[in-house]
Amino acid sequence: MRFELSEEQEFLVETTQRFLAKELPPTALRAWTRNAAGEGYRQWWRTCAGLGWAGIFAPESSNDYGSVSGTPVIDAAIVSEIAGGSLAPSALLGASVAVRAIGRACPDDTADLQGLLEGSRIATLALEEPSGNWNLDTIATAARRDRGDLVVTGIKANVPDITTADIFVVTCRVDDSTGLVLVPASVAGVGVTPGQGLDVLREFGEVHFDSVRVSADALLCIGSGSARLAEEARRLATCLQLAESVGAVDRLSTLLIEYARHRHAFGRPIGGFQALKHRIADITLLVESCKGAADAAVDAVSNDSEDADLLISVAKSYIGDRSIRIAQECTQMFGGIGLTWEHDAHLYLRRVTSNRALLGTPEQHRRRVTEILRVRDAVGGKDVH
Amino acid sequence: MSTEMDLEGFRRQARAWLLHNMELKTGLPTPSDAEDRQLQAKIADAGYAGLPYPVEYGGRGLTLRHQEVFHEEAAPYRLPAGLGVSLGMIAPTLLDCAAPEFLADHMPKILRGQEKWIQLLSEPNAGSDLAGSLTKADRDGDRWIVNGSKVWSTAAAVADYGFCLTRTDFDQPKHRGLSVFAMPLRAPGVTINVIVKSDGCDDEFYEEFFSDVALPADSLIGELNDGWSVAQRLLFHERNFSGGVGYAVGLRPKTRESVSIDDLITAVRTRGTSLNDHEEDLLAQVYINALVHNQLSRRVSSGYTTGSLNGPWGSLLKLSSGLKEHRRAEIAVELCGPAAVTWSDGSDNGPVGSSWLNAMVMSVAGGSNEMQRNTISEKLLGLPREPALDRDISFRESLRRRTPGGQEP
Repeated sequence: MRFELSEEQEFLVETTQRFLAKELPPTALRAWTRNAAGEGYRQWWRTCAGLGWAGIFAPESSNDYGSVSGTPVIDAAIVSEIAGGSLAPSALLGASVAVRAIGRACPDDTADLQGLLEGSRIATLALEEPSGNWNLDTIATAARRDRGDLVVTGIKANVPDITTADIFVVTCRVDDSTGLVLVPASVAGVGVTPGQGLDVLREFGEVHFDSVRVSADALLCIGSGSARLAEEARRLATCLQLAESVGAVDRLSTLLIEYARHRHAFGRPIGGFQALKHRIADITLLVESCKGAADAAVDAVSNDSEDADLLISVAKSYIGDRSIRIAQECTQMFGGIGLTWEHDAHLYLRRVTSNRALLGTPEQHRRRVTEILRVRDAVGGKDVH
Repeated sequence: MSTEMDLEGFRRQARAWLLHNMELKTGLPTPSDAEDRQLQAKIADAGYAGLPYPVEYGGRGLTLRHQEVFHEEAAPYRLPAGLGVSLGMIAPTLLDCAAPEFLADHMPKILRGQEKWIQLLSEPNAGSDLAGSLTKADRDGDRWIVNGSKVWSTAAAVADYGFCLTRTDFDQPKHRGLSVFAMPLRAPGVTINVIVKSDGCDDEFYEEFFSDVALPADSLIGELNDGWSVAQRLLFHERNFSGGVGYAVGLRPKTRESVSIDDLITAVRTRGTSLNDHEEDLLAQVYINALVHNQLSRRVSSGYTTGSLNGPWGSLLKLSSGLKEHRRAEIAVELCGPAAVTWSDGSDNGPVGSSWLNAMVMSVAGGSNEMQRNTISEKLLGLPREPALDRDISFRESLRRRTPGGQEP
């Protein structure tokens, strides 16, 4: 967790931690591994929404919701980090992206908003495509205008909450630009195919939009502004994923350190052997570095800094690579117990390995870093420190 | 200027003073030792030296944030380059441990650059196991007579004093018979030799020999036989210095690399072919690692400022630097291929090869990566120490056990 928190944010941290400690004991988590969708999940998310998780990006007009600090990106990242530590099932990412986009584009759309804020409706971000593409400039899904309607066609892959989602927030090509379109799951032509995933606490799958006809109001913004909105959605989603991975490796390494203090072998705690404690020191370095990188990216997005894309890609590359190394090293040092279904190590390993590959791999983000720096170099831009 | 002086007002004042009084460093050589001292005196005269130190010891009684702000503003200017050990490590250690009379005498001179200090810690037989120091100080009336030798001190040839860890009681266990003295480096009986580094450099590190060097009683820093705690404070401040946090905030540029990314790109280009995807990926890794190291440093700094972090978190930054340097040098060698190992006179590639040799300096000097890992795991994470076989016996006895025949050396 970052150190510089406002009083309100400290309260947010405390209540979120207390809530998850109480409501999500290890036994409860175990149940989710067999049921990451359906009515139980809906009910859980309504409880989370009751704490305000879904409403962090609510527009000012909605009285009961909003950011506690006035910096919603940071608040949402705080919640995501804590939820990541508990591996809490959560629709935070989809809700945040949807509520922010709707709030900006059509704050009077109280019908859609209210359900999302209360958690009775679940939104999910449909961004990636089967080609492995997460880059907004080259997505294939398109919305064509037809009289007063939009007709959406395309396939989105790796979509979370695939069978539970009521609303898809779809990135697509519109009018030679990129936009975000809200597509209700119930509309004709929407077909979902749940898939198998490494992360057994989360459900992913594909959604097909086969000439899906929605009203033109479903386009959250028209013209050049829509590209920006889509870009902001992607930035926000990536920030929340980064925070979640940081929370996960932070907790897993804490569990390992506890274990190393108490597990005895050869007459002393295993954490006393340099062969292990040096590796634990290395892990601590990586975990703290991941926190530094994620916080820098979150701050840049929160401030809408010109370095936001660069710092997101830096963090996504770094955390993607390091989080799986941390999880792998921790699992190794837990020894036999870490290889069992009952131990949580594999759940963390599954989570961070999935996050690494989704919303752009480390390699893809390094390529983006190179592109951004090359452009900057060409225009004589300043260095980031 | 009050302690409460607002930072922005201070920043504006510092900015204006720097603009009118200091030279921009661009294009100018690194200052020599004599220039360092002149520059520091100028800074001190204007009231910008020793910002966080008490007024009675020649400081300004302001905060670490003031120091950070001054150095943010001063970054483009030509500042003293060789006073890091004095100002960033020795000064805060003395403040922690030395007697008020000692501080009143030495601190103002240190803060002005008039007295330049170095560390005299490592010995040929005591590196990571620093408490195994063999250099001894024997009491002789109201004086101390020092005999022994030290290694790996930076800039000894131009320094005035050394912070010297010695053994004052061989009958105490290893950690309990040590004391720290202020060693005047021009005193009779002190011999200073240069150590030639593996890359051939012969003006960076030195070794010192002490033959019956007589020190007055008031040279003692901290309590007699409590030198280990005093040395620990120095190591604490040293790690903070290498991470640019704590009392060292601002004193050291965030990235200090012998071969920068730009140099690296230039070096790769001399081979005449453009970068392929794999090579671009490696370059991006170098860039990302450097940036994340700075982000970690900002995090630790913020933890110190808010009081959320206590203890030797500088070790984390020290370890980070050590590992980052290894990886950077490794990538540089990979990217340059044969051009990293053979080059023609006047080519830019020489530094790539020698930076590979030098990558190990950052991970050994100032406490090896392995010692940082011990500190992190024991002091920050609370993991147990490895059992030591010489902790509870007299140092004399541990020396006896070391020698093959078991005789006292």
